[in-house]
Amino acid sequence: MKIIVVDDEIKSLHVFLDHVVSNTNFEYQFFKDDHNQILTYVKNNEIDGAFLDIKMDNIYGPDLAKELIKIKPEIKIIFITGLNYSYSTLPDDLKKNVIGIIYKPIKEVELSKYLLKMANEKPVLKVRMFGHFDCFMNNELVRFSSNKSKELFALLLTLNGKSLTMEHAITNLWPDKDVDKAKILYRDAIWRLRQTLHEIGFECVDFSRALVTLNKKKDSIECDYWDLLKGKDVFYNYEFCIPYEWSINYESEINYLYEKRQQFFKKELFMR
Amino acid sequence: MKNRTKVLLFALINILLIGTITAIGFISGYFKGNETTTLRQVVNIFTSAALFALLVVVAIEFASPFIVKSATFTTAFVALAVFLMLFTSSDTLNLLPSIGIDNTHIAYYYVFRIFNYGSFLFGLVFLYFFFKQDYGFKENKYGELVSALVLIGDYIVFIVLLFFGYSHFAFIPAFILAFYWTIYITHSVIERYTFNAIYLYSFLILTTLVGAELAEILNYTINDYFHNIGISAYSSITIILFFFLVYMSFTFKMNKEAQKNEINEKRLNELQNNVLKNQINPHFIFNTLAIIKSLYLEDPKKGSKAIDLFSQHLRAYVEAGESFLVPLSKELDIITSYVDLANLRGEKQFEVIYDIDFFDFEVPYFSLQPFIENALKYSKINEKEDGYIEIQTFEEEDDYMIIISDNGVGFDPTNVKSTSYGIKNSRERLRLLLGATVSIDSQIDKGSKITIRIPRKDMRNKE
Repeated sequence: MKIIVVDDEIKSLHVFLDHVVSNTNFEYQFFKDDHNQILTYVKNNEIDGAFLDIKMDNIYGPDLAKELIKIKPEIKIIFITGLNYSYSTLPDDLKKNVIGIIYKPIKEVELSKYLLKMANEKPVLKVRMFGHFDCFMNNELVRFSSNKSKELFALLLTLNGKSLTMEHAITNLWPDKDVDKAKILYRDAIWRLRQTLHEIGFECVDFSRALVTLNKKKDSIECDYWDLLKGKDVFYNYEFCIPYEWSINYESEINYLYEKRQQFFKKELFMR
Repeated sequence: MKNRTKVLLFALINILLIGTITAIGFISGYFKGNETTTLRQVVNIFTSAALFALLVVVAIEFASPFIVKSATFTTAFVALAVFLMLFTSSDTLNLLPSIGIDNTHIAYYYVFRIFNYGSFLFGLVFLYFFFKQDYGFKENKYGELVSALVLIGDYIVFIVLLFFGYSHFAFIPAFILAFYWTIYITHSVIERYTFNAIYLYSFLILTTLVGAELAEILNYTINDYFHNIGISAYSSITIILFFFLVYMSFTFKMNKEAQKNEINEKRLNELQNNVLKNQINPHFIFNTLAIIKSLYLEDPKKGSKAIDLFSQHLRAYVEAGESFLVPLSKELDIITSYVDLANLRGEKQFEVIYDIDFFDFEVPYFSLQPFIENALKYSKINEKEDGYIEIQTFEEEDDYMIIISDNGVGFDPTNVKSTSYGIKNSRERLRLLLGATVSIDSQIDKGSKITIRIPRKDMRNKE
């Protein structure tokens, strides 16, 4: 993907540029708000996308966007702004090309979400269950709204597609609390999980009154534990879902599975 | 009384009224025979003058620099319809010989009848819009389609009966129409729980219109049409006067409401500005910045997270400058970022527990936060082990409920009411924007409970 970045202040874009560089699929060219220079470049080069600031000293972002669209009708545009500018305030003739608006200061999760969208790639949630439990959205660590909501998500994933009931969640996550308090805490974790998934734009869970289920977006989840269950060759360091206490219940089974798998692979190697 | 019974009762009264007017009209038409008096001509002139006055009022409103209300459009069309109806009534037909046109030709009869009945339907359609636009008739796509089909079908039946020599039965479609409209509009009125003067006026118009037209049709079908006099001129006066009254009272009410809204808007702006001023105070900003600075020295990742929280919070202020209401889930996000920021600052942590059963509604910006702040300030939950604030939302039949409770030390609610500006402000905005009520219940040592009851939108116009 070749993109251009236009902003009058390079400083506010530090995080952003780091990311674009680290993502090998993107090649970028940076421009200050020099109107002619940008247009000549776009006319003479293949460009897939553009990140534009809205309020710059010499150019107004949406005006520049209009000119870019004239040259490259298929160009995908993302605005970066400190203003309170929303999709609905955009002129109609831009709406087709603008795929998002990012607000300053740029959040890493937000940015990676839009980079994926620009590359037309499906978002993938990578889940690490072996070792310390963590989730990554396009290589960015997902920050959960609370520890318990993260733990709830981990517990749901260990069920490998089956629904998580309120009773199961409470016995594992809040074994010491009395039932009424635990129910409230359960509902709090549910709400926070919902908000976190909404924020990263990966709503892979369906919530009903006392049941939590992964929906069809689960196909876009890459999880090392699931890979092991499917029989893929994965690395396992004899640690599962740290620091959650309930993970002990699963360890012996996973150890057994892993060793069986290792033997199978060794045998296969030997046969060759 | 149940709704169904109410509808039936109201419909019955309406049909009785229509029946009475029809009967009077029919009898007066039947017995008066073929007199054509100068009195009737005077009446006609008077009616036309009244109609003209109405049109002038409407025209003035169109020409005035103020925004033209949808009521004006519909009024104009209803006036036009009534004018057409009057123009094609039996009176006009009877006047034709005086300007040298032979009215005995059968074509005149049909043309006049079709136009007369057609404009009657036209008037009803626009009366319907009058109800719908300005009274928020219950949205019902299916119902509208059915109404349209009934109207068209009815009109076709009427014409067929007329042209194929069954004009004696032409009153049947008219009866069907009257019945249908009575039920349909009555039902919508009951659904909306609105019984005010304007509605009643409009009912009288509708009743008179339907009754008068029925009498007219009956007189046509049963009497010989050349000898018919009917009551159209008299009834037209009634209709127009009624409509004039409705229109005036409606305009008056709208003006009053607009004035009230204007005052409310001013007050809301003032309240909103005060909220923003209170929230973005230098104390809060610089304290937070100081904390962020020290977090950066401790661990850049923590500092970066704090910056995200702070900017999320500041962004909400900017957005609040542009609208009054925010979706509940977003307001809760704002609270989360506020609590996380507060937890960064304080040594003792406290948590907000969400028990969100329903979140598909809006609240004023920053309207819940003062209650959280208040709980922090008075209930001292951050000093208590296991202290928490719980935000609970759910829906009831007529209301959305938000309950904010804590397990702190409680406070004397009468005391807080007079001291906390934030709560007063929230309360007033909740009331002005959503008609919501707030009750504060707190007991020393038992914690406090704040109940916010927001009426559903469709219940808010209940009078």
